Amino acid sequence: MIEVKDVRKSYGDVAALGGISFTVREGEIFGFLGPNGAGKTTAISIISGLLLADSGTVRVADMDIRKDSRRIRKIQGVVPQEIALYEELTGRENLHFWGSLYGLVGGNLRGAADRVLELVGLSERANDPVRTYSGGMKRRINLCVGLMHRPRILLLDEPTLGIDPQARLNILDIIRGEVSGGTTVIYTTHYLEEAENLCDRIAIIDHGQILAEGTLQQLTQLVGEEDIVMVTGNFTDEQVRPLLSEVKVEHLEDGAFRALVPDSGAIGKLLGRFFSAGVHVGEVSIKEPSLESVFIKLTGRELRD
Amino acid sequence: MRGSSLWIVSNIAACDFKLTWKERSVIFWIFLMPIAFMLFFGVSFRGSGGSTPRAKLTVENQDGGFLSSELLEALRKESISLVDSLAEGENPVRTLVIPPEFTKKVLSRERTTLVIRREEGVSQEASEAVSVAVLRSLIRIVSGLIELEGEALEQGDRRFTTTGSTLSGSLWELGGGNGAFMDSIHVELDSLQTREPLVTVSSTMAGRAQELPSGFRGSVPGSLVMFVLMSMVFGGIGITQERVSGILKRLGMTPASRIDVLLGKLLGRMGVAFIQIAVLLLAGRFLFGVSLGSSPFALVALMVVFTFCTGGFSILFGSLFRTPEHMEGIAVITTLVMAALGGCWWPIEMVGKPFQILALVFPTGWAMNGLHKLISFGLGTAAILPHLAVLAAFGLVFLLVGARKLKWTA
Amino acid sequence: MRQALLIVLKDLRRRLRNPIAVISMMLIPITITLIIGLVFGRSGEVELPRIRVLLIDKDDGIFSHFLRQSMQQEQFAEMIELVEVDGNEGRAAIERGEASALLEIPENFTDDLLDHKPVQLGLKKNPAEAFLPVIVQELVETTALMLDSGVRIFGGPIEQLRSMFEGEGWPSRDDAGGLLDSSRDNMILVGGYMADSLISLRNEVAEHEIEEEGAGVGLNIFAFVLPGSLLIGLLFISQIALRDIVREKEYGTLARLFTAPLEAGHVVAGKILSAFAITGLSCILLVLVGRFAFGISLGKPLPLVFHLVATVFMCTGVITLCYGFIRSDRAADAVLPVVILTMCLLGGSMIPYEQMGATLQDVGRFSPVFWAVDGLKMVFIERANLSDISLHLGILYGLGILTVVPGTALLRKRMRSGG
Repeated sequence: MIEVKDVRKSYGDVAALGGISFTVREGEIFGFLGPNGAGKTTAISIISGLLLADSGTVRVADMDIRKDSRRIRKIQGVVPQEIALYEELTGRENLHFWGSLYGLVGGNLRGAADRVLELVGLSERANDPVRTYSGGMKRRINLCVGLMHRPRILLLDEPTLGIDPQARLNILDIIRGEVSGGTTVIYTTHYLEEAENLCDRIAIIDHGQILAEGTLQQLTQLVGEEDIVMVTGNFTDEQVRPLLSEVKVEHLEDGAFRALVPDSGAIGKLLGRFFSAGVHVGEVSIKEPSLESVFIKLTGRELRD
Repeated sequence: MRGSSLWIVSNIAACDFKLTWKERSVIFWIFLMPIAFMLFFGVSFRGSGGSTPRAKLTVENQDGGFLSSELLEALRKESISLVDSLAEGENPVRTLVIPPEFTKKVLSRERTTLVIRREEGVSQEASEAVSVAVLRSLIRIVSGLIELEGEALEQGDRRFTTTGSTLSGSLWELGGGNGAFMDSIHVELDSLQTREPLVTVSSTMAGRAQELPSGFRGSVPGSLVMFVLMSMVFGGIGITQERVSGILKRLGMTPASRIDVLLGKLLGRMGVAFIQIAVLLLAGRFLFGVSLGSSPFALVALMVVFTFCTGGFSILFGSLFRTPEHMEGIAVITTLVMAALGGCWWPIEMVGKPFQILALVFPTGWAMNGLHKLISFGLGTAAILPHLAVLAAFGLVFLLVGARKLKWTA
Repeated sequence: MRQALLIVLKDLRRRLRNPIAVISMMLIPITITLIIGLVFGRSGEVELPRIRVLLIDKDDGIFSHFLRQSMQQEQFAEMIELVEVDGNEGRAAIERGEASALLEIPENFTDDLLDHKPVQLGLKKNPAEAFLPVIVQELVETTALMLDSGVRIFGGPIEQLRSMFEGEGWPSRDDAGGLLDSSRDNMILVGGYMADSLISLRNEVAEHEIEEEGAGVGLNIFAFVLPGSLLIGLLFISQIALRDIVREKEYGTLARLFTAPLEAGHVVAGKILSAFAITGLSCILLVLVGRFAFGISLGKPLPLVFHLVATVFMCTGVITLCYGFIRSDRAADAVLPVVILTMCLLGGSMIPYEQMGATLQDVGRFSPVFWAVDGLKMVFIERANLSDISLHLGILYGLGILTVVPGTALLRKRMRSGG
């Protein structure tokens, strides 16, 4: 449904996307997981036709974004990161306006607005100005705008940014319900659990590069069955290097290392060697195979909110 | 239709139009403040209109003779208002001081001086009108007097005669303090004053409007042009705000093209301006009695092009700034400069030639000039074709530069 | 008190970090003053451009020449640009608004006058111009009156002259002698008024105890314009400075302030004092710009200082009272510019008070801005003493107190109840 090949985009000297390629199949929820500034929004902007890539091709529903931008945009629904709503207008007025830009009119337009308002539970507040809404309510209306015309493709750019966990779950439920009808979704987020719970396939993106792509299962296989152990303490790399011969060291520096270990027994042995060598250990953390551990393995850092 | 460019443009325009009226304070900015300006500027620059209150003149007559009363009589025929008595606590604005023995001195052909004393800061225009009125009254009295003196000289009395080119004696000496003689001069002078004038001036207005100009004729177009521009420039801030809030970006992701969005924004603003202009013109017509000229078509054409031009400026203004902070101050200054130099604040003929030419650098100058052609001269479309062309060109340039500079995202 | 001062210092620091809002408001009075000063020159008296008058002379006789010449005399020549045109060209040009007026001298003008038949000059005025055509009309009417008088006084001799030239052959010596005799007396009589100024007319401005040092200094138009525009700037700056009262509530920093051991009164006093300081600082800067950029003489130091303090106090007070009723940023945006501009319009900030017409002037005296502007003009232009502006000072300080006290009370009450 969506085919992105070697897309590059730079702002001056800063490369926002350094040649990304991926394919999203019809009816699939494709997650883009990465920290802030990874290039997720730029990718969404290019697929939605807002920005032109410096090079590479984007095909959506067998159309080229450069040639058929308008036709593509008609079948897409976009939910940007910002709450891009007219605060002075009511929720319903906002929906009517944005819906009309997608060709909805008359009864269809009103029906669509009623449907999405019902979906997000805002029917009762629909006639109040958006500025009187809470943050979570605004997010829900922001989402509704993208759902109004029942798009074949839905591009969601961090639609749950800055709201409480309860409201976030609520939004994820709405999206799940909405896409059960076969909508193709690209969903960007920097919340691991969202990607894990919602997405059929996930691309991990950082510094404008896709580091890995696949189903949750495929991704976690990248770290295999092994756990990641991270140790910090008061030691030098010279001191601990000889002690780490039986584990796969991923990263080592003075005062910290990260390594893959087959099981918890191996961790016990490792720590035993440290204690007997008199190496000071401050903190030990163990991550079982998960998206988080994959992320850490790929980027060398944790993905924080 | 649905989903077409036209449909999208009209929806964006309608949304922008609706948004403007959501803010209740715009009623003040769009309608009430301009009408207040029309009133204030109209009253303050009233020019020579029929409704002009006459310049006030208080008289301090220290003379006991008939010439001073003749002079005052002549003054009453001038278009100034002589104040006979002052209310308590009221200060005279201007005072004509007729010196003691004015009659005697004039009749004796001795030098005498009339003084017009005005308070500081009083209207210069009115003071000049008073000077001219006093001067004219003097000419009337003096020319009558000369005729009487000429007749007296012909009598060849030694008390008032000429030798070569010198004059000896005077009417006063001829009268020799004889009251009856003075009375006869008074009566004759009176009758001379009642003669029909030989030379008269018929003054008319050029153009078809044939209406007395008043301060409102300047202040109505002036306030209209300034406040339409102001609404538009402030509308530009809205564009910057939409960029910062992500609305422009979202618009860019809809099927709307860049041109659709720009046209929608332009038309939405023009719609607001039309309502504003209609209300202000009606206020001008019915509250302040200003004629709207003889060609409604030309007026509408000029206003459409003017709103196109300022709408383009609105988009340019909105595209120049990254954030809406501080834009308000700059918007006010931009409006003030363009309005003042374009001739919205004062009659443009009052300023020097360089500033009259400078006015044509601004669309406001062209709009004002065009409005004068229609409202003051009562001319038709042909007279404002250059104005239409120039304003449209201004608008197009603003729009193109604005479109080029406009960024969708912050 | 210390807490209030801490708040003042914090606000001043914040304002200095981000001064653009205040600076852009300061630019408004500077721009207005600059434009008016540049356009109308610095001399104060409006110097009108040369007035273009078109002339169609269908007579070309002695009297039409007299008219033309009297309009081109030295003093008028500077004022009037007389352009002779032919009939159609002239009428078309005035219809296009290319001149202030068109003067048409009819055929047989001179002959008719000599026959003592009434004649009429035609004056067509440019309807788009409010002032210049009126000046032309006055001038033409006055010239016509002079011509009228001249014809009456010299009608006899001129008639003689005409018959001499209309007769066959050269006039005889007797004819010429008689003509000279009859006109000589009238010439002498008129000469008395024309050359010896038997009656002179003097215009003078009533003087108000202008001190020696102030005398002789020409009026600087900037001194006339700046006080009004200054008030617009100061009121807008005050409202920006006090805007924090509603904004900090929305940001939540106000609630945080109250978590510190502070009284509501401290916070309000701090806010008002900092607004006073910011407005005062801007006022000083603007007056300095007036002094050094526009060359305004600032008058005597003591009245100047007292009056500026009173003005800043009044501005802060009025705006404080407004904020006593305003609860949000949006409401402030909607209400304050309206209040400020109305006060300024009525108080003579935009149009000189003297020019406003009696009714508006009466209303204007209820605007605090009037007292500030009028007093400041007296200080600048008349070098007023403290006693001269005592009424102004009394009203401004009084208004300051009458607005600050209830304004503070309202704000305090609101803050105590949680903003």
